Amino acid sequence: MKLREICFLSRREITAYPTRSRATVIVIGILFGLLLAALVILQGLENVTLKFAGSATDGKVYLVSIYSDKNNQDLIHQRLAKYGGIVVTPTNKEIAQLPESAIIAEFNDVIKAYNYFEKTDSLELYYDVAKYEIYELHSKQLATYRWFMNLKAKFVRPASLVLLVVAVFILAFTMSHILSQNTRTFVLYRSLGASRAQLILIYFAYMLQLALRAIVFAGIIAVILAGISTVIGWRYFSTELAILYPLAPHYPPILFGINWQCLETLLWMLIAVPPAFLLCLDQFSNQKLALKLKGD
Amino acid sequence: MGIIQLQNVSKQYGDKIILRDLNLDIDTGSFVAISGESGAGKSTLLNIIGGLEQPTSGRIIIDGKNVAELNAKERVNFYRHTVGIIFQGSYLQPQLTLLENITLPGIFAGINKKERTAKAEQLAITLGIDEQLKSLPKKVSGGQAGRACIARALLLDPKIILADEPTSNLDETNARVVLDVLNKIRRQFGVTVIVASHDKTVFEFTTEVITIINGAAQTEQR
Repeated sequence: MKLREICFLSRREITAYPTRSRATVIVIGILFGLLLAALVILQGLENVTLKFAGSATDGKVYLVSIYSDKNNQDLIHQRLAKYGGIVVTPTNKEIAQLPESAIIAEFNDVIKAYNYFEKTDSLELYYDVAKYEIYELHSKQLATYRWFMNLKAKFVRPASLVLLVVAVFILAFTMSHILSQNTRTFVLYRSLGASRAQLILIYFAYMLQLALRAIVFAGIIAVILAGISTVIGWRYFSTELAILYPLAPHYPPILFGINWQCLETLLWMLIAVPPAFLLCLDQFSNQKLALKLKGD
Repeated sequence: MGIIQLQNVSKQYGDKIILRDLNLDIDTGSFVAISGESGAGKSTLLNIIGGLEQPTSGRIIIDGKNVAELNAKERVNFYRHTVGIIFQGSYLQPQLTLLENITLPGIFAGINKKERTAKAEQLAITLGIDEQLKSLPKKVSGGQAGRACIARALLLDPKIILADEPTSNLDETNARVVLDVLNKIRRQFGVTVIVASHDKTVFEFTTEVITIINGAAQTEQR
């Protein structure tokens, strides 16, 4: 049996039970669509806030680094090379304000600058975090970036895990329901020479197709909600950001942004399929089929 | 020795005895009717012969093999090459066209599309449903659906056809058409046909009638 034929038969299962299939797609799609919308809107807000925050430096991040251990002065250069920071010559004003050992570096990428700032490689490069001082000059992009990152870690990550569990149970419940109502089809397929593996493949492909449709639906919901949020929040965010960054030019507060977490969220829907399927695998046992056949 | 042998087969659900110590020997190429009142155990006997249900005790030997001892692979081959089953009520997949329904066994057996479609079309011509091949089951008559079920059961050239009440939803004319087709196939290809039915029309076509009364079988040669 070819993959094309498995897909064909599983697709026909969707057309055979359109209401049930649609309901599954809608419920899972809405659940993940809401989470995805939150992520897209948040990322959009982060993008526009970072634009405002970085307007003074044209989006570049300037970090001052001071390492008080005189035996390892090469460390800053070593780490700057690692994170893509370029040493820049300080202005006279900066020279007057900063200690002599301070190094100013320019980063074109906020994420790389943040990773440099976070000093997570102290064990790898053998340096003392307490003696290493880094702070941002001219803008507050790292603080903004960190604020959004914390928000995602505290709320979005747990929410996506909860949704994953919910999706697994919804899929498993739906599948179990569909399978228990499909006894005649199972018996028919087995009596026509389908192996247990073929049956499992057909229904696994069926669930994957439901998940793929749910992904598309979730994407549509997220785009719509992001659009609505942009329209509703346009004036509010324009005003708030202008107050926070009065010198910045006006950037349109479009609340639409995509990051890896968005793709990860969509992927969760596919990841939910195997555990959900495993939960109802016993429905394919010959013994259960024989019992159900009699029950029919 | 017949193609189907039942040795001391009994079946009970809880305390209710459905079949009691049955011994049957069915020859190759015969047309057998299993009759009896509703609930007598006709479908149960057919399901047991077809391996869809296990007997409480006894052995079923089909084409020299004990059905209960078939492993997973042998069981799949058993359905692909030994028996073709026609379920009660012309059970076709509603979302598939007649052609797709008929070719299902070919899909499962890994026969390429061209070959299985050609075989299905040939069977459809023989059974007089070639005009309806692209129709969905709901668009065809009961008789045409019944013939599609027969075509599907015949696609992989099984040695035995098991049919559960194949005429139950048909008028007499269509019932005769279906039975006549089964009989022709039996004569032409030497297929053994076993039909569970309480329809008296069936008996006109059969070579043997097995009547189940109180779980016991009475055999009558015709």
